Amino acid sequence: MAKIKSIEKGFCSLCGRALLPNEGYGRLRDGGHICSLCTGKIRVMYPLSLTWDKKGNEVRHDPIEELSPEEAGKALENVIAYTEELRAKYDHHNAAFAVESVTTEKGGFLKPPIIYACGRVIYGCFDPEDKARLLHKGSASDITLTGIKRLEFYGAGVSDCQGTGGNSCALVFSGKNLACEAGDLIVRD
Amino acid sequence: MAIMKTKICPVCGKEFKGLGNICKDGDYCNECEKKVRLVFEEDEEDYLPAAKIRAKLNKYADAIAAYDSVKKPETCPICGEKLPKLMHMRLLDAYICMGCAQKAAALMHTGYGAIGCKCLSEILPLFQRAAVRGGRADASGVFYDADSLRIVYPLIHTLLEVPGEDGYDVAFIDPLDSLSDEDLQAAPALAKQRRAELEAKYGTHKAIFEVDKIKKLYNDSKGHKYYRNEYRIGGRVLMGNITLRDQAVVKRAEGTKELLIRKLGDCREYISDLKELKEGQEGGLFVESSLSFVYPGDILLID
Repeated sequence: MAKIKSIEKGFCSLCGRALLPNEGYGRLRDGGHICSLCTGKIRVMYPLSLTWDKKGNEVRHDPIEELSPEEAGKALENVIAYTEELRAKYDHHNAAFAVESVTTEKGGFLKPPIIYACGRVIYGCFDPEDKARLLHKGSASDITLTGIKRLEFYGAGVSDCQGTGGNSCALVFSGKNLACEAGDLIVRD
Repeated sequence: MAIMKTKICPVCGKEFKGLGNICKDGDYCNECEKKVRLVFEEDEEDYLPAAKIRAKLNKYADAIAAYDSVKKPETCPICGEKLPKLMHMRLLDAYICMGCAQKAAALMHTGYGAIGCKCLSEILPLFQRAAVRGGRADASGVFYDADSLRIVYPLIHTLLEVPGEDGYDVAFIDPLDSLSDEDLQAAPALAKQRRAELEAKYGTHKAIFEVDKIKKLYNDSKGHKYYRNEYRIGGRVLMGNITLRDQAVVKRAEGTKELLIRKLGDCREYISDLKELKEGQEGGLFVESSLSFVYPGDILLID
């Protein structure tokens, strides 16, 4: 009978969990690895940067890859204190999203336009069908998120993801008389 | 006629007449077939080369030679329970009860029938594992309970790739199995120290749970996701045991927030019918309320 084997590629330097290729894992400066759960926890302190060059190629900069295991461990211990500082900075909202660019799409006959607000989740998480508030030039509008799309490819046919702290994504919503531009904040309570 | 033609068995090299039995390298003789039936599951050898069949027959040669002389004992050699008349499994060199055979099949990630092609010596080590026995004994015979040591040596969740099957099977690596005797003897003191550290840091509670991931649950219907107001908080129990309907508290700068745990699940996200999450176990707490104030890395205090 063919041999059954486990698929782990090692163990996380921080928590000891198995590194599973199907879940993904992060790399550290010394060549060690941390699991996707530890990466997700400290991502809010070290946000992932996604840009595109003139040829349309993705340029990805992950500050976690520049950390040593000791620095990553210290970050893991301080992540909640860091999140509390961010909460205090943003009026104790439970989640905050900074809008960096906006794209609109026609909503259909007699329907309001669909707004794709691209940016970064500062902290917290955003899921489809969450109720949030758009803070635009001193005013606040209630919105319902119809989708959360990955920044690399977004459109109606692409499946939704979860917007988590430190990651870039596009929040999708629509509504009458909504104005959204770069610099706005979308918050969740 | 092909049936009356003399053929050479590719497994044993002897001449034989007749139809023979199929393998990848041609037909093999009925003498070999009697032995093959003992060590291969039905039709498994049809796609194997003769060299592999021969290797397996050589591996189990002693057990095959002594097959007819094995007598059925009164008790199962693994669990010690009385061996029933009919509900037992015949191994190559022993008889075991059906319960132990089913457990062995689950531990080896094979079918129930495949266990009958194994020797007792291949199956016994599975039942010596700490997670199966509930602990491990050191060289001097002192038994250490696994549950009390999980706070420092939790089970590590991994996945098994089973050839020929899609997806993965969930498995666990038990650090207790690979501990030296010195480390095993030092483990209770280490567990006590860890417990004291957690109590000094978080206070005395029924359980302490570290949050890894929060997921909003949905129903999938015809390719469309319908999200509901229910969340799964994935994480690990750092200390204590969590049961259904326990109250979880998270501390925020502006005050504490409470959550009622409706369901419990293990590390597999689709499981939500556990009664208890034990110390050191990875699992999920299912909560039916908005959960925007809990973040990965948070500590939930359970009372």
